Amino acid sequence: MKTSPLPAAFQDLQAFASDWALPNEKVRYHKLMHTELADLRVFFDAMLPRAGAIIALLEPHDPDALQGELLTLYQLLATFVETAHPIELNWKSTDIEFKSDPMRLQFHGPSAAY
Amino acid sequence: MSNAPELAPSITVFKGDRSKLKSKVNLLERIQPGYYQSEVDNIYRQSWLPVTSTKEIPKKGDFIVVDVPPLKASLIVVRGQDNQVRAFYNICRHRANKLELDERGNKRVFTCPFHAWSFNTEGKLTGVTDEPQFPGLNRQEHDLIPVHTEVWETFVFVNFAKSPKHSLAQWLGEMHGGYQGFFDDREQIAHWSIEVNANWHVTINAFTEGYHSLFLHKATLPDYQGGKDNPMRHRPYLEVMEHHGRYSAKANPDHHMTPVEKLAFDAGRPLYPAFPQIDTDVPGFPTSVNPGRVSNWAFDITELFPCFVLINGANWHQCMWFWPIDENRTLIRVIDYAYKAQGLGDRLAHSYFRVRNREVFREDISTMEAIHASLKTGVMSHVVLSQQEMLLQKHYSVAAEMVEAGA
Repeated sequence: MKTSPLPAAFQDLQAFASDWALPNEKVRYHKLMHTELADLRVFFDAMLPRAGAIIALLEPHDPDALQGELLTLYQLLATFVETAHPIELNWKSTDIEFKSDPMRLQFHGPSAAY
Repeated sequence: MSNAPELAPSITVFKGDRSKLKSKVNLLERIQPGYYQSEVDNIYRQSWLPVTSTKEIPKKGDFIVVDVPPLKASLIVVRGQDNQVRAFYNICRHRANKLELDERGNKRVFTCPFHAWSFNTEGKLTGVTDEPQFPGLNRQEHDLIPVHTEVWETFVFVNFAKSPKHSLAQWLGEMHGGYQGFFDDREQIAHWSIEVNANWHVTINAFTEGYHSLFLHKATLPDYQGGKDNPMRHRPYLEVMEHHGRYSAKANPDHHMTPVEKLAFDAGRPLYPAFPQIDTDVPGFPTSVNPGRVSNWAFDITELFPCFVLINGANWHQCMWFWPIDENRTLIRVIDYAYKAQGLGDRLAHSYFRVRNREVFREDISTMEAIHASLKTGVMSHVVLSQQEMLLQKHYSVAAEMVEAGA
């Protein structure tokens, strides 16, 4: 599915949209598992100072009814929220230290929906 | 006689009968196929087992198909036109084909794809195609095969015994009236599953003690519990009941919120790993939520024997199933619920919560296959359990009693 461009006020984040505006937990998880920590940090550093402004813009809207550029913006924000922990907790990689094969985890219901 | 030693000093308030608990448990015997089969017959066929939630089937005719791997059963759980929830084996009574192939839906009639026999939502055989070719057929002998079904606080339980030894209320014991309405205003926010190459006991044991959290979860939950007054994260309250066990955990008052945690929980209502300040007796909390009424409460963990764990905070709960497939494999299913989102902020709080929670869960998974593989070598038969791991002691005590009762 083609990603809509971001609203004009958030053009500084447009370069991240195609990789990081992702629709659900499952896809965000798989992205995280296939991203180097340094690349995640670039996304995190770009998003953190802008997240408050994104929330302010989106807050009046029903998250389930978003379309077009606002949907892209929400998906970018949700991916940021769901991928921030390796940076914030000072991990050595984007995956946990004690792990088994990360691809064995199956996602259902809301984890595959939004 | 009791093998339980005198209690060592800790902050833990212990409740319940400890006289049959043992601190050394033989796991090697429990991973043998013959022993496992005796557990299926004497534990899984005799226990009340939660299989789904009434929230999955709110309307008349709504159904969900659930698997119960230890009994090798597929069940149709359906809300009938009379609004009663029932469970039936998902088996057509003509030639034993699987009747319903969809995972969920809403129907007035279940029709078998093989020869189109049909059954209503109360399980009655209502349609036989080309019926005159079955001379003498008595429809009443070919209704769907029911399983004992009872509903408690949004949970649908089944029991595979011909005549269950306990009512569900008896099986739940002290907990039965303890959660009134607590789970009602919630929505599902995450659902994961994984098949693990480990015995079911090993898998459920990973979630019913807090001793490991300081070590295994040091990178995912560095400071959510414990703190300077409780450095080893002792449970403030731990209770063993007739079949089940539960404990509470204290929040760390010095928990440091990361910037994105703060962002998410400022936008929406806080969830784990942040805990609202809950003191001894919150008005409106039913008796089984923070049952010891401990100060600075974070959450409770309850093992519903044999294979279900309920974890609940003030405004979220997690349902975990540890279904044995055989003595070497377990299907783990996790469903998270939280307050219904009222907008974007709550949705972001849900997102943050489920991901932190998922990574902790994945760390817990990491130990299981290693433990099982170690046991398979046969060189170490017993594990040793501390008093902070008393829910495991209780789990094995109940399991042994049920196996011995059926022997």
